[in-house]
Amino acid sequence: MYFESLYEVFFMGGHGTYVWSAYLFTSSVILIMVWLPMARLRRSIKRLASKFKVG
Amino acid sequence: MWKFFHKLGSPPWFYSIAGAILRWLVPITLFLLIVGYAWGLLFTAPDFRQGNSYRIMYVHVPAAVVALAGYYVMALAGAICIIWNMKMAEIAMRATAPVGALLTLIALVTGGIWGKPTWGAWWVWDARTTSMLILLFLYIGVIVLYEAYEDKSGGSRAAGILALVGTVNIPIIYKSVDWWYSLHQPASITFTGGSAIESSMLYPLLLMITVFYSLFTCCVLANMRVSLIKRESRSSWVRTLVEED
Repeated sequence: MYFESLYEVFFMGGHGTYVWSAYLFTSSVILIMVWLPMARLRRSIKRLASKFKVG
Repeated sequence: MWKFFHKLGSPPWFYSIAGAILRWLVPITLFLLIVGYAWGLLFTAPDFRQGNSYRIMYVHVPAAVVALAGYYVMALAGAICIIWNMKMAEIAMRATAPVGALLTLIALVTGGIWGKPTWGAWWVWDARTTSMLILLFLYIGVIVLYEAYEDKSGGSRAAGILALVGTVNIPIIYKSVDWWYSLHQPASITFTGGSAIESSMLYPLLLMITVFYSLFTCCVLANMRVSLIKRESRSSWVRTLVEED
């Protein structure tokens, strides 16, 4: 590992806020991007299942 | 070969193959994403000029690269959709647009965050950033244009034409740092000649670019499956699939 202490990992020589916020933003967008279609697919299947039962 | 293309146009076949691919590709991609994060954040030395802020590169560059490549995928699907009126191409085009838009958003936001300590500003109206902003509007335009049409075949045609016309922007983005005086640094990785980047920094970057390509593939396939099941909800294969579930 490059950094010597946990404090240095967060602080990153004064650039910590920038680096960590960039990674945090990227991660949240990726999670939404991956999770959303899975949730939509599950919802569609559930809706169709109830429709077929009635029909 | 032709048989493969024929199968590609078959919704039940595509749905099940895409599902099988996603089952292993999504976990592998997310695992490699974490590996790439750790590598870029903790195990590389800081840049001698930019210090630690350069670590943003490991998310910024892959997002931008795949956002650009993804536009070609969308435009190609749009072209097939206009010329042969192929349903699967229309679904692919619509599945690509939101993924590309989100990747462009990542590139723009992380670029802004990187710009603050490096250039002293969150945003500058120079050639690279402005042409990337136009890319975001093109992606959003394709989504909105399709939704705006009552008649969906007209909507997909219009969105396809916009996607095709927008390809003009892509070489402009690539070349913007060479054609105009720009704050944005020129490309560090080139296919011809040596790359202006240390190999200890290059390998994690290449890993992250691969991860983002894989993420793009996963999200497009997953979006296509949602569209397929909605569009084909009256067909028998969807019915058996739902009842088996």
